[in-house]
Amino acid sequence: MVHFHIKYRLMIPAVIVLVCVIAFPLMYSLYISFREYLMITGMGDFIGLANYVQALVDKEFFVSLLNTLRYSAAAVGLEFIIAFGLALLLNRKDLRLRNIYMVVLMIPVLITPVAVGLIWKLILHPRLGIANYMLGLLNIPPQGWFGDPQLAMPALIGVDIWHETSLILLILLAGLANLPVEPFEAATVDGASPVKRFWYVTLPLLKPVILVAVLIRLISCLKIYDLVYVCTRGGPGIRTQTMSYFVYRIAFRTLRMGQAAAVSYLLLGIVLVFSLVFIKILGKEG
Amino acid sequence: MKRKAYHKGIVAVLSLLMVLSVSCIGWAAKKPYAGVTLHTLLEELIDTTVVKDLLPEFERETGIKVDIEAVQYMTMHEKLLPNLIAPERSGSYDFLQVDSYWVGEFVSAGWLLSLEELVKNEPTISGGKYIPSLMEMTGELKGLVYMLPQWTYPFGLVYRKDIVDSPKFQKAYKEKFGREWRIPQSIPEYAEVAKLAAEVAPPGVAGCAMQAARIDPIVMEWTNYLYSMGGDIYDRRTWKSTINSPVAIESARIYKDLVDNAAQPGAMGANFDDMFNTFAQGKAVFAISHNFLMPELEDPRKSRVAGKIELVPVPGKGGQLGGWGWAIPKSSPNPNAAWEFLKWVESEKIAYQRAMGGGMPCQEWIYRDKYFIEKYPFQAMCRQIIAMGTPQPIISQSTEMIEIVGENLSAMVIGDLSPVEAMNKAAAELDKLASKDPMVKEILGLK
Repeated sequence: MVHFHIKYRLMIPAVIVLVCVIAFPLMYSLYISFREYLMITGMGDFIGLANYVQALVDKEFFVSLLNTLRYSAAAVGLEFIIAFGLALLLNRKDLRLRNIYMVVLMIPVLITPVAVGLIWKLILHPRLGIANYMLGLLNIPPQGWFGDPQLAMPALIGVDIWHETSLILLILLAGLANLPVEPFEAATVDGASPVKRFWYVTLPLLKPVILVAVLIRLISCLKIYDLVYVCTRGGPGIRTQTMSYFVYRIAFRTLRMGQAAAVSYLLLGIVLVFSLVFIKILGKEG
Repeated sequence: MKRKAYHKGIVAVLSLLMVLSVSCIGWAAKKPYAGVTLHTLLEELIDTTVVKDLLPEFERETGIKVDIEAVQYMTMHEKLLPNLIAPERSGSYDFLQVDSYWVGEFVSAGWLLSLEELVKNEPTISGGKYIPSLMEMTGELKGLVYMLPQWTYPFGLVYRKDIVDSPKFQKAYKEKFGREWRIPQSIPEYAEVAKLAAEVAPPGVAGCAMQAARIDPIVMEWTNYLYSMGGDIYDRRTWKSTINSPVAIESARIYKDLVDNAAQPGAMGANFDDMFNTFAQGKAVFAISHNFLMPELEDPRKSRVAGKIELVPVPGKGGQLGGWGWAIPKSSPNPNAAWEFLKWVESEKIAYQRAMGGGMPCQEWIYRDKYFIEKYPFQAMCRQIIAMGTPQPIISQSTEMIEIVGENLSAMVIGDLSPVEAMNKAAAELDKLASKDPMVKEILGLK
């Protein structure tokens, strides 16, 4: 009985921190999402679902959502393919200088997103950037990159790939390193080719790790904000405006905090749906 | 005998202590806020650098330290907001620099202290010493003084004299226009000249440097075209949007034409710094830009076009006029000490030093000072440009007004909307905004 009470008492500080840092902001933003709250006039009346309805009839909401989904699908898909290839290479026992490759490949993910954005903004600067200088050496005209409506999103995705591929690589490499050896030995004895071993042994065994890696990156991509803020501010037009940037604009540019809270909750709902789907698949795999 | 000496000693010590405490009281009376540290957020500008250099003098005189956080313009508004909504005397910033189109928002929300009584009771500060249009724009609102004009950023047309005076350009100009070179007299004429410059300028040099990045950059640049052609965002008596008037639509069409045919590559994503760097690196012939860039453009350490440029008014009726003002927020932890700083920084002595350091003065008399004009000859033109300028409309939700205009302009330049569609859409959204705006409703006497 004494131990029971001590156990819960020791948890109190952590619970207080969680309530202050997570629960209270979540509850408060849910509260203001049902109210008319313009920063210059203060908290207004209860308006029910009006903020949610306004978001759902706003064309810009759907454009931002589409941009976010496109960004996430392209970035996560390409990062996974590149990271998986690198992980398979780095997992080879006969690979020399493996540790040096690992250190070099980890450097991008150690840099903060804001610094990454600033670095690439300079590299891809239409006039001052080295990218256009190199293109000029090949007689290719300078590109607008972040200022070109057609190239802005691909450029942003490219920066994200450069920055975050190493994270998936780390997870997949850890997964590969922990796979049991026996199924591979059995497959080899049975005469399976490397391709068949990869398809019928490696992939099925690695599936839970792949799902976790993809889920982690997907959640990050769905919430992407910092790279967009630094590199493009959602432009040109709204070509690179993502959901998080849309929320920022509503909150800090139009000062409509109630509406911003409503859109945040809609984004939370979308992220939850994706997470639940993946967790369900993971559960089945488990 | 010994007792007498002892008593004399005590009296001497007590007298000394009394003298010392009276001196301290006197010192404290002269420096009532000694030991206070004021915090503020300013834009990274030449004026901020000059003020920082002068701060030791302020500290010596008042005992007050000032900690300046200097940031880029784009991050200022969102950094200020959480501090402005803080309860009285609990914010992070003691005084502020407020952009002219934020005034309506900050005053409507009740975030700024009125300086009316402070200014009335302070003989060294008088609204009369400021340029009237600047006092109206960044000083007074609803008949009360909320700010002291600090800095003005009118726009002008800056161009490369060396390229324009070259035989190749002069010949091409004469062939196209049938006359000798003259400075463009209107925006449509400027557009044709900029496109010509794009054709005849040296390789890698654009006709004009532009800043068509989303929202603030594109709006700040395009409103020069709009105002110079006689258009406006709102009719400032009825507060009906006039952004879809024929003149406004034409100014938008011309702007898009220049982005497509005369601007530097990547102009659609270029902000103010990109535009400046493009011109300073010698990669454009023309630019409609802030006059305060002139000292840097004429500095050979920072610019490749030093000595090769000239500043003239924006062709037509005059461009956009903007400015900043010093203000004290209600959330200021030290409003009285902050007022001491404002009095000092806007005193004639310090305002003059700031101007001589490269600032953009708001006090009229400085523009009549021969040493100032000798050091910065372009400032004579600046005074003329200030007189011609039109400020942005001031309403409670000015930031959203800029968002609406900027979003639609941005959609236009990338081709998602035609100029007519973009301006019509902007007009509808601006009318809706004005119908709910607290300041507009107050002006029109609506509930």
